[in-house]
Amino acid sequence: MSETGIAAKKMTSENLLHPDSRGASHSICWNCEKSLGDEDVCPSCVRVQPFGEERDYYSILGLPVKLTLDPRLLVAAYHEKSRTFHPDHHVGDSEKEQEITLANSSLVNLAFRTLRDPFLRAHYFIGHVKGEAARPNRKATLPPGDLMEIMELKEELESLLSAQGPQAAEQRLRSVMDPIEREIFDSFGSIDHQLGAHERDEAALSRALATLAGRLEKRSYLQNLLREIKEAP
Amino acid sequence: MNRTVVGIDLGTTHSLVAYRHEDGRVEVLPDREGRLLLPSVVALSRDGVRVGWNARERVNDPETTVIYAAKRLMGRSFEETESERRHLTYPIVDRNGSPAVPDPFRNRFLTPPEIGALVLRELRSRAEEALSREVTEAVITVPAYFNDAQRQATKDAGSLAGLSVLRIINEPTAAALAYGLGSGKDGLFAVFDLGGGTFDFSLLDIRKGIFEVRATNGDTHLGGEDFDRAIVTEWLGESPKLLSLAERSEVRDLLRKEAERAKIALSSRTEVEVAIPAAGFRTTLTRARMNELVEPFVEKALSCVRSALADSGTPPSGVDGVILVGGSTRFLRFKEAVATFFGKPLFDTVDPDLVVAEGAAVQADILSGRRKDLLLLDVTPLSLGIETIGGVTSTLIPRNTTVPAQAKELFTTYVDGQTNVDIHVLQGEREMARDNRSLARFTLSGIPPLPAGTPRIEVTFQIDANGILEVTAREQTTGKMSNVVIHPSYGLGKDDVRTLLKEAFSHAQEDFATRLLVDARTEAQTVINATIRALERVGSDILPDADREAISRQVEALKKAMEGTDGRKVRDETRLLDNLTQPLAERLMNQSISNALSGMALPKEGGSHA
Repeated sequence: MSETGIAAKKMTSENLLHPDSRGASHSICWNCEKSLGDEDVCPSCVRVQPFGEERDYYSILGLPVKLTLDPRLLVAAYHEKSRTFHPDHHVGDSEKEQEITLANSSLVNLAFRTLRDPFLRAHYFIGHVKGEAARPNRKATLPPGDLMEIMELKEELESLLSAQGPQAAEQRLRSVMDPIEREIFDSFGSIDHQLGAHERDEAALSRALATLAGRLEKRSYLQNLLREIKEAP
Repeated sequence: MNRTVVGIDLGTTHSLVAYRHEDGRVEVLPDREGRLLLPSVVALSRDGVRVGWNARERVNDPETTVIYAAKRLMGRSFEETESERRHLTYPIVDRNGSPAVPDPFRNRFLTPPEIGALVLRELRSRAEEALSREVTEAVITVPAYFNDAQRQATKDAGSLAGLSVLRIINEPTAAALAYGLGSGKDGLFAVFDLGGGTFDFSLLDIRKGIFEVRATNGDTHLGGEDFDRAIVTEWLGESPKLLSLAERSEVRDLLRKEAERAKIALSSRTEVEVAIPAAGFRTTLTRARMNELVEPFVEKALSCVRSALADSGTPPSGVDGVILVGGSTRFLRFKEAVATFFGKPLFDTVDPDLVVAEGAAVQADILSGRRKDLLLLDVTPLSLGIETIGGVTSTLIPRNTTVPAQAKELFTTYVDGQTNVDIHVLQGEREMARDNRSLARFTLSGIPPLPAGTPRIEVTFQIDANGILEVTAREQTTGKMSNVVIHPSYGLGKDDVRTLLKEAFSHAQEDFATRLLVDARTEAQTVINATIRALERVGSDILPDADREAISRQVEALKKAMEGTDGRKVRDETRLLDNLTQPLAERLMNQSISNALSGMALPKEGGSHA
């Protein structure tokens, strides 16, 4: 094949932040060099500030790091940050400010997109509490038992699809998928609780996270099957 | 900072320009005669190019090409416009796969953006006069269903008219802005836009000043003109004489105007008398009968509404209000049908012809930096990605992602020691790269030779608020970078444009001759077709045999010239044919007029239908 082809590398890049963001000096305004504290906009000269490298999706939107998020709070936070950073509200600002607003509002949009979807959010959350920058695309491997189960389900769905049509296949798939999704949602509360507890049982927490990760992985396989059914001619 | 940004509604039948003054007043800017609407019509004739009202007057002049509804051609390929072309009476030819209108008087072809630019230039100078200052920036509205290419073509029309188009916004969003939704009023709003020839329906989610289009549907051939046609058909059924007279386009136009007048009159009265003395025709149209005639169109519109609601999983009762846009929503039967369907309050206090332009002016005000209480969030209509080994599309930014957006992903090499990678930027939803639209290609070179799969090549997509995409590829160990800026819809990066320009210059001489020849051939074919049609129609009473033979000989001579490559020769032979047919054309014209006159003199039998 081509000598100049490009191949997918099965991992995603991590640093999505503005090139100017410097972890160490983020607490000082780039413009007036006064102290910023936690503000996104300098209290002294009202210039927007680039997000520092340590900012995760939760902190970008100013939300607590939790699996359970009130959708209304999430939307409200998203709108508030959009109003602060959207380039349309910075028309005519300096080039530097335009650069910052472009990078920041891109991140605000990405953070919202990730946290809005409960499954993407859970995936991101796990990576975050484990202290690694896990991204939704990263491939993990499924235990052999689960893999077998999915292969069998796939065959069953294919025969259902040809014998009874997509609705029957989707119904069957849903009967497997729905309980898994319920288990995923049900674990959100208890994990949030364990994480917030005064004396954390690290071993139990880590087990709970591993279980959640496994279920997410399984669900994403099932999601692919669902897509295949929907796209079947 | 004092910027003057205007809002423009570039419509299928009419266009308008509006401005939001410092005191918050939104004004639709009138022309010198005080008219707010500008017909989106361009007339090409020997003595000049006319735009707007003056152009529309020429509609029956056989010596003039009258271009209307050019918005239907905007940003589409020649093939895509096939169904549209059947409805348009002016010539449209295929120029490198795109539709264009020949301007035989100036030996050129006008593309849809160029036609749009003529209308926009008129609006621009109207705005400059009304505001007494230079206007160089604008927001232009488009239907919500417009794709990227159609939006970009609209932008191009703006640049050609000397306007920097700060943003293209959706017409329904503009209508909602004009009603002041977004500042205080939240909810899910339906926008019902029935114009002269098109129907658009959109569902708009508005939360705390943030606007989102949730679903859109419509019919590009449904509007007030259909009602007029239905009325005319009714009349033709009443009078066989009218039917035979209606073969002439000027009679048809007269009937259409009468139908329009009757329709408008019926919104305040329950019946209207119609008389066309010249054709000995007289009838009465009642509102009840007209409503019956229009019922199929009401049903058609409501079925679009139903599917948009189904798409977004919203019951009619989930809608908080319905905004009426477009002149045809003045029609009572439609108002009634919409009100019954939704059972929700109608927003109809702003003139439905002006509401989109007024909303565009509100967005223009936001983009001029004067207003920060409203924000329109826009999404990318199609997914963006690059081609990877095996011709597969690897998506970086999925469609419906809110802009601005950034995505980074790591890629690597495919063969050992590979030092270059090609980045092929794609737009579309298909799995295979060849099925998607190619936006740009560039190469990143200088990758250190390593085993396949080892180098880390980071590809970044950045889309700004205007939808402009920048793609950067960076090899992580050496930091070597390469990038391209793409106006996604256009498919051309700055470098491509530069190359194209360079090519254009080096081939300028050749191109000129080719163009002259192509233009001359097109014009020749038009004249030949017209001549042959005329020869078939007329008998020896009008055209003596000797003249007919001379004309036929010249047609043959011209055909011969067209086979050659000398554009000038083709043009000269066309002129000769033109001269020969001139007296015939005059005689035909006289005959048509005298026929029309004798039609008027006919006794008034069958004229007492009422």
